[in-house]
Amino acid sequence: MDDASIIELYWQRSEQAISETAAKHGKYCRIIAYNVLSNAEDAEECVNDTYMAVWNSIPPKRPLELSPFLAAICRRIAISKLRKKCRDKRGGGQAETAFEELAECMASPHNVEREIEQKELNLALNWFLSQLGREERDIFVSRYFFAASVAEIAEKFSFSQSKVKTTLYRTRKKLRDYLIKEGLC
Amino acid sequence: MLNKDKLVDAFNEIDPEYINSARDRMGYGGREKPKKTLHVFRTVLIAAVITALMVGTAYAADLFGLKSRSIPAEASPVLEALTPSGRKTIQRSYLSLNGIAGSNEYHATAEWENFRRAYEEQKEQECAANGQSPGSWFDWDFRFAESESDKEVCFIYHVGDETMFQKLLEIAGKYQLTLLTNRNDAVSLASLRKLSGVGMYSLSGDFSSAYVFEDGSFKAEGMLTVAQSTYLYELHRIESGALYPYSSAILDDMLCEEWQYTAADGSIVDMALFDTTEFDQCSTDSGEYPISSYRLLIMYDDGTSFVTVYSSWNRYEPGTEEEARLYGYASMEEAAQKNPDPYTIAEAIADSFDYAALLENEPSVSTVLALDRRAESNPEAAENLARILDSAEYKANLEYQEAYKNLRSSFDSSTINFEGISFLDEAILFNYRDQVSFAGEARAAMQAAADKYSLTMPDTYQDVCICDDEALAALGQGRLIDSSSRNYLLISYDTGAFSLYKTESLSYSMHYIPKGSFFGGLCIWNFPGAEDYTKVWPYETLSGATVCCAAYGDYDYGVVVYETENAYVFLTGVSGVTALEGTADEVDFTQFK
Repeated sequence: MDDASIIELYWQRSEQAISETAAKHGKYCRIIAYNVLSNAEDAEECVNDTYMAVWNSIPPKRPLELSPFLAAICRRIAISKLRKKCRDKRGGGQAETAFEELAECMASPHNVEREIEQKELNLALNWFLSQLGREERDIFVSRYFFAASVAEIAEKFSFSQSKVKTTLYRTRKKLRDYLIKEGLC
Repeated sequence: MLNKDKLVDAFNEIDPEYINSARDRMGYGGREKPKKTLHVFRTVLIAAVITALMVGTAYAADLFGLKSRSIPAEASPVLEALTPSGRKTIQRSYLSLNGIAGSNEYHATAEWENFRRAYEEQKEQECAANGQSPGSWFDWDFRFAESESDKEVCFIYHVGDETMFQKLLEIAGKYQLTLLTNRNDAVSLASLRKLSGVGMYSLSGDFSSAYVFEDGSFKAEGMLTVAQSTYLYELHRIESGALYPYSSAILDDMLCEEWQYTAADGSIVDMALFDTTEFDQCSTDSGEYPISSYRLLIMYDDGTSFVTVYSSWNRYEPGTEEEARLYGYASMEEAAQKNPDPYTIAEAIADSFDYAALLENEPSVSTVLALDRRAESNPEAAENLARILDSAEYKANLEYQEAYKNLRSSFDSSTINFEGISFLDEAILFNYRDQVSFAGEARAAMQAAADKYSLTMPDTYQDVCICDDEALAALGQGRLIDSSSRNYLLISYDTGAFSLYKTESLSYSMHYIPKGSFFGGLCIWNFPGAEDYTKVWPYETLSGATVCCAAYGDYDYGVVVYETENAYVFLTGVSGVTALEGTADEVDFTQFK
């Protein structure tokens, strides 16, 4: 079933929408959740929460594409669980490493001079990504949206791990320079 | 909340297109697109299979390219892998890309690959033992290298410290091979052909990207269409005489079939087809929808130039009509038509290349490298750029962009600039989440800028997707673009202005702005002033027109500018010197009036 039809099922409040979503996108959501949480049980719970969140958000939303809409919700829920785990000191796996790398892009962990608006950062990040070459952007998004490991990225892109690390390092530096120039860090 | 956390959360709001693009590259979820070719191959020659293939033909075991290029791995020769049938220990070897067994290139590759992998593994173990983070031993700034040329060599060969560098020099000297010192990105097919001297090698399909070394060796990526499906490929054309920095890892213990094939252009190529289904675990979790996966290797050479093509794909074999529909096919019949047997696909891919053209090599890399692009060395070009950036048309656009940026910061909008969208489009002036319109204020800002500079405001626009040569020609300006891609978005205004967005491969935007008209859709990274560009130079494109290229910053964010009697033309959305020139090579500027 195509995504437009699945979305229509949500609007009709048909529970078949969830089963169709699970059939078509379940594996995708599990990958996202597992990359972040590194635990199959937590990932499964996250995916179930994702289906519930989507059911509660469509309607009123009518996303143009279901796949990235699901991905963003699943990721958000997974990161929320990860933060809770980290607070509980249960460890976050390699995803925590990936997200820690992004700290390099922000000049200081606490910016007391200016409270950065999330909206400003969202816009700035999108602009930054739009200026990257596709391959560089795909690597960056694979690492920091999907929390894929460097090893997995290297395999899927047919690069050595050192090349992936170099690319990520340089792109983080570019992002940092841009955010400084924009006064966002 | 820490700023880092806000940045992590900001990724949730990125353009869905970026999510999908990365999803497809990683092969996550949904119907998997054909995977990018992998350096990791798993193969073993099954004697019975080869014998069956070679019935009726004379066969010598050493005739096949794969075996003659395979290098046994000394470092980490085995790999543990978990397959559906259980945990397996797999033997590993490497593939030489520019020399067969016995040649200096082959031996040098063997020594370097085995040394490099063993050394990297050893350094990572040392880091782990010392409590250091992985990769921390690697000096990304190459401070151990004295000259810029040496640093470039280290970058190309992924040399992380002095020990590796000395070993590289030793191996190159031992086998009397040169080390490659310049890698240039080719963002367009025109650029690749200009830099490497290669002929028109792709008889169909789209070019994606490439990089070229100073001897004309290159690695290119692209897509082919076979049986109505798209297949990604990776192509290496490597000259002998140099130690090539890349090789492929081959994992043994996989069903492999090899044969020689006469391609459509008459060339005889070596084919190796691997069934990687077991190792790719391509079936769904339930195992209900069988998917097979294959990897293809095509090899061709004339003794001095070596061509290697990689491709890989999944084959869907739905057993019921419902399964077929689940994977996006109308019926099982359609699924069968679009998923022919792997040998048919392999040979169709082989037929897609002109191998004689692939071996053409008269590179102009050295000419391009010799260009002095510094602004101070090109005062006339710098002056022209300054004059254009001081024009009424440019300043009006700049002021409107600033006004629009201030307006949008008040709303939660996902639109950052006008890429692919008309600046007149009411839809983009809506916040699609909150359904709040600020169209009136944006229009007022446009009008204010137009009035200030006495420019004519456009009233209407038209947008259309261009996907073939005929549609491109219908632009009315002749054959504007020389590219293997045929997918563009054209937005034209009643003032005569138009924007052309290349939507595939490395994308860029081109804007044709008639003098005297207001145009508000030109977006340049950070809108630098003329004095901010550190590199400004005239560049003669493939079409014969001389454009002005300008770049600034550590990563050479840039723009290409061209002026006719009646209009300005801007190429934007590209960074990097070679990318700017390569993109300019794709456009026939002489067609502009």
